[in-house]
Amino acid sequence: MRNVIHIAAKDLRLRIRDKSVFIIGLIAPLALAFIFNTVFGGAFGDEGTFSPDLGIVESEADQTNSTLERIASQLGGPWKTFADPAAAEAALDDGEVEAVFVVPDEFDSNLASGQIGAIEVLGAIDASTSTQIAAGIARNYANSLRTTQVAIASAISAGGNPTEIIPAAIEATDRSLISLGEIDADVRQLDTNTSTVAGMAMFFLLFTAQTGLLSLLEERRDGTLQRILATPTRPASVLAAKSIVSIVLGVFSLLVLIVAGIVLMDANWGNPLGVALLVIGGVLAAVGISAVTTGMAKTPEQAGNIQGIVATVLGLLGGAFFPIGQDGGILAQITALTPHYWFSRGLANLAGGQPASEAFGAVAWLLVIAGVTSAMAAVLTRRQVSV
Amino acid sequence: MTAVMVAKGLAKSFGDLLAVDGVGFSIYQGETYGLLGPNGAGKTTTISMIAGLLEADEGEVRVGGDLINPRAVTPKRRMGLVPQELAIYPDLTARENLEFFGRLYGMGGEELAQRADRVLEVVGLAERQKDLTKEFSGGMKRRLNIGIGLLHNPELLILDEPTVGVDPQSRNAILEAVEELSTAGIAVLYTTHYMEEAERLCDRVGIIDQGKIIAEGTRRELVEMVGEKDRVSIIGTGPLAEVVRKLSSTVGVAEAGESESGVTLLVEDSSSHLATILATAAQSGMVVSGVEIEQPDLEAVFLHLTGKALRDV
Repeated sequence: MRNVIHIAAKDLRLRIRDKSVFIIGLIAPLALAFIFNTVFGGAFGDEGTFSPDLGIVESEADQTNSTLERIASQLGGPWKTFADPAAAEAALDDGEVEAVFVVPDEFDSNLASGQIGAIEVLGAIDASTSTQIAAGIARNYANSLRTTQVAIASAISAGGNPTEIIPAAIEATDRSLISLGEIDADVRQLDTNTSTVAGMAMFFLLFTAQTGLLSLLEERRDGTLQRILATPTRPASVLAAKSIVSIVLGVFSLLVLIVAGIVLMDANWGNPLGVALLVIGGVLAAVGISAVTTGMAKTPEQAGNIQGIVATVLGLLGGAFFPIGQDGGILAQITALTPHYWFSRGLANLAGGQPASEAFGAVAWLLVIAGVTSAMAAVLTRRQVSV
Repeated sequence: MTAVMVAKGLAKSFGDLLAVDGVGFSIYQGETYGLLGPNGAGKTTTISMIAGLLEADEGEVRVGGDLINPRAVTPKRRMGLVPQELAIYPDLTARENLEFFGRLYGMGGEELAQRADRVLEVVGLAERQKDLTKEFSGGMKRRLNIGIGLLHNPELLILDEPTVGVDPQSRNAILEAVEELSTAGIAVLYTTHYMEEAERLCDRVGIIDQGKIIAEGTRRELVEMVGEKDRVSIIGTGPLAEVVRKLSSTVGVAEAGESESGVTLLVEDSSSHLATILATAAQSGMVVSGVEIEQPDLEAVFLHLTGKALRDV
């Protein structure tokens, strides 16, 4: 263990001396934060919550219409009404609104006969997040109505007074619907910009995390690895030391990026403990992936090239450049294999002041990715630490 | 004498290439053992297994009685390795390089500081100890490369062709340093394809070719083993035919003949018989103006054993 520390300390000293630690750990994340601020300015505004532009097509279902409007107002976005679905679709095409509820005229009257109709949600093609939020609201509303119907029926059959039971049940339904927290977890997402920022941070992290491991190949090329292995140092200790350097640099650069986001962009990343856990999970996953690419390469240059390809592919799949896979299907499943997705997912779950426990699931998946890739790397890097 | 290192039946293949085939030898305390062979003979593969860098396919190496392999820790404390290629960090100073490797050997504090001071003096870099090694000349880097191997006072020091690409002045300094090591009781394994280095430094030599040790012993033993004799040229004038006739029957002379400047003899152990030979020549009427003695060297032994010259391979 002592030699692990000596090797890691030497590597960090060399990184400080050749100034790469400042470039990777400080200048690059600050530059990235600056770019984010310029391109996505205000992405983190309003304490990280997302305000979709919603609307509704006018109908005779006044009770439902007003309930949906009340929920939308809680989200903070604008609310528009349209005379008919055609007008709503035109507004969606023009970008005036992101998602529109279409409630059938007979929706409220059917409730009286115990039937619950369908609420349609029209969404803009380039606003899948808002569309999913609108769909989530509609789904939750319908579920609440069903629950209310069952509760009322049960209360009446048990001898309750309908004139007292029904208003109380409706009031309870309204209360349960006006909190964003009640929207399904799978709909609670970061907005496009914030999601991209999180994805880009993970994309950048894949390059930072490779720095320490890359020195394994550099030392092999320069002959110093042979000399280290001739000392009382186990090959696994060398690997551990290189991984520690990658972890330290990864955490440092990500923290710089997060702090810069707070200072420069007034970002609110969420619960500090949750963010810290996500940073650790994200860095470990990035180091694991970097270890695999390093283990596949024969030279530092080759490792850099492989890492570039892997980082780009994972970045594309993980939504670092544009959000994908939100509408389900095979892409959604592939996206879930990337650390970018779970890092963004974790931050999204922390949005709106949610507790750290909301990030546990994402952190667990990041650790799974780290574990699987580390196991692969242990096999692949075995030949790197032999002469 | 105590064997510091014992290698038995070492074998190593890389794919279809059998790089080392049943190599075995021992090195004793204070002994300098030379592994002499052309490039590609298997020297570096052999010392990589001895240094615990490479797992042997067959055979074993024990240093101080402990088995060595890439995962072994204890026997590596007793060894120092000076690789053929420079293995130092250019962005660390000479002292930082020494201290880093010293710490990997478990050294620290005052002990490490004192040993670093001592080694810096030995390799002549005390005044440049705070300079980054990327600013050093090739010779200085070579000396530091050796100094790192000496830092922890190893019982066995492995030097893999340490003078390759070194200027004559630094080369001589390196050879002198190695001579001092054996005086200090350190066992040295020295690989080279320079015959004159092996002759100068090594108490015993193992000649390796195509992955096998084809002969082993002291220089004299190797020469005797292949039956090589000293070539003695007596320069002078007189009745050379008579001189040749008389010398042909002199003890120790295997062969005699006339040459342009006198007579040439093949003699077994010329140092023992030279006085008798010169007296016989004088009695035969030869006026001797000079004597040249060529003793058979390891180059000749290698040529005899393999049919090829060391440098040609």
